[in-house]
Amino acid sequence: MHDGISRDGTYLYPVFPFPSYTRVTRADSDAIFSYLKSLAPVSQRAREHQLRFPYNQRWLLALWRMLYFKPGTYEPDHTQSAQWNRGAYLSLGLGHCSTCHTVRNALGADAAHADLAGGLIPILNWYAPALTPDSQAGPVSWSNRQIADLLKSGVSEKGTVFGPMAEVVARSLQYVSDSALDAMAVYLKSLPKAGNVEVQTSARASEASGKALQQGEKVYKKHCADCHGANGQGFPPAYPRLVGNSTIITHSAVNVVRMVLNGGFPPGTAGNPRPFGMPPFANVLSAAELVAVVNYVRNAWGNQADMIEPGEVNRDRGIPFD
Amino acid sequence: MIQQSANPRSLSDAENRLCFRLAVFFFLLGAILVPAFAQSAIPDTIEQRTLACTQCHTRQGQGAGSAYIPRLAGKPAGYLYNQLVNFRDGRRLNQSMAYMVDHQSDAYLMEIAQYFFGLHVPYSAPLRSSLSEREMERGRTLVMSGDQARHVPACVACHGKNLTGYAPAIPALVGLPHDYLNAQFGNWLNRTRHAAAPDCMAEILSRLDRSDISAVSAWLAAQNVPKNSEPVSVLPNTLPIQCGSVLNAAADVKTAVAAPVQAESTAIARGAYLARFGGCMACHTARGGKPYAGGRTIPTAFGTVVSPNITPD
Repeated sequence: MHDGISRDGTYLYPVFPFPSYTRVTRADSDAIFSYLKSLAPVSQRAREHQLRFPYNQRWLLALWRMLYFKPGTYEPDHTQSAQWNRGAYLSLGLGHCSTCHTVRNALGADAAHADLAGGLIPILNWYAPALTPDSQAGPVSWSNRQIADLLKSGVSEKGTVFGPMAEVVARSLQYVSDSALDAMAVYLKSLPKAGNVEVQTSARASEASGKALQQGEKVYKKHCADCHGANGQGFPPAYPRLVGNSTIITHSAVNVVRMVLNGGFPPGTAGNPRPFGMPPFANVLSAAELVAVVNYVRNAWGNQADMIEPGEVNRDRGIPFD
Repeated sequence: MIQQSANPRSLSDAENRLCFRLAVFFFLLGAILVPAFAQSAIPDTIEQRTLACTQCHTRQGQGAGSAYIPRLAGKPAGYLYNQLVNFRDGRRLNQSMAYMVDHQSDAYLMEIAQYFFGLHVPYSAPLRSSLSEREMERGRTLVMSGDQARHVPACVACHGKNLTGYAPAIPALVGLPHDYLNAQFGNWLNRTRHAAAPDCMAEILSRLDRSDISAVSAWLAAQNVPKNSEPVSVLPNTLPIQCGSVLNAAADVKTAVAAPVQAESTAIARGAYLARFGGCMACHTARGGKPYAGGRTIPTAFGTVVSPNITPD
């Protein structure tokens, strides 16, 4: 867990998030180990990985580790409160938020020192929004309570989790103590601006885009407004608000496009056991209508984001579900 | 003038206070109710919660124009529930269905199943079959009597004498489009549809020829749905073959959401809590597999990684 090296000395692939887990204290990793040892054995042989050359050459990981892996448990920052430090320890260590919320380079390494400024998750093709103030709609504009609500129940006044984050909430975070979530909220709200990423850009208002937005408004009124409100205010926690929603206005529109195409349910959690679902529109709207409505929700009611092209919708149609 | 004569005196202090209190009361009531009504634009009903389902299966759950999107209305709740669990746990392979029911609890899936079971929607008339009379007769014989030589039980032995299903877990075989029936038989043969073990339908289909299967589906698709389309609750004889899906439906609905692990002082309990936090189970558990036994495939830009078994095996 700390070093990314297995019992027999072989290097582990960093798909196992040891670059985050290295920050976990020895006492905590020992506790996890004693729990795993207490489980009833299940006889199930692991299948082999199927990696392409040269990635199937494990010895090359030595090089990767030299470049990108810095072992070491979390060092508290004594200028910050105990709660902040606990939040940082949990978010950067076991919580391994940076595994998705930090952009990765071509070799799958965290290219931005766990800055949590968001990024497209390779292969999964969901965009993990910035947790830093690079996004105006990020945690900096949320209350601690709203952050904890989202992480615990999957829904909140500010937004709803979908995609890989739905799994994180369903299988991990809903079971986490309230004080741990509060500490994470305190830490996340304090993150500095990363500044090195293009989180969102304002659309250039031209005549052409004005016309496209009018078409989008028509589609929105017909298919979306019942649940997300005439002004995108939503009906949280049943249906998320779209105004100022960080996942709506990210640089990449992939989350919005996939949600409109495929719909889906937020995770069922103790705090939200019977979620309201969103219908899939892949077979209801034409490509032009999809583009129009995505551009509309990204640029209506004060939202501002890049306009997308039909090619983007067609590309996102092909993404496997998980 | 009339009002004055009916109520000539001015208001007493007590009445003034009462008026003031009433005004305050109604103001407060309004303050509570107005946001409540603003919220109530979204009806808190299972129908509203399942709009994601009815977009394709249609609002009344009667199936869409596409034969591959089946009717849900009136199907036995235990059967629908088993299918939702099968999609979630990987026994039935359908990407969009798995995506929809991922991370939903057994209890919620059962509630959804019961909602669609409770919908009563008329059936459309069956289509005429293009199969020959001889083939249709073969289909009818298999459905009504089975094939003893090949140990194939009659469909009616489990699905009810009118083929309207047997509550709670065995579905009707009438009222289904021909293409849908063929697709399901094909899915069983291609091993993309499974039921809980023992998988009786997979077993039965393996004993039949392809021509028999198409005769059965053609005959079934050509039948009218009887006036009473309710699934039967009693069968004249015990089931001729063991079916895992029927056994499971008899068991209570267990709550899927595992009991929250409290952070206790003992190392193991603390480890359990931390393992949850770290998401160990998520990656080290295959869809529908045993917790921590590994086997989940994780696609990466460099190929596919398979998570190892981290139980003390």
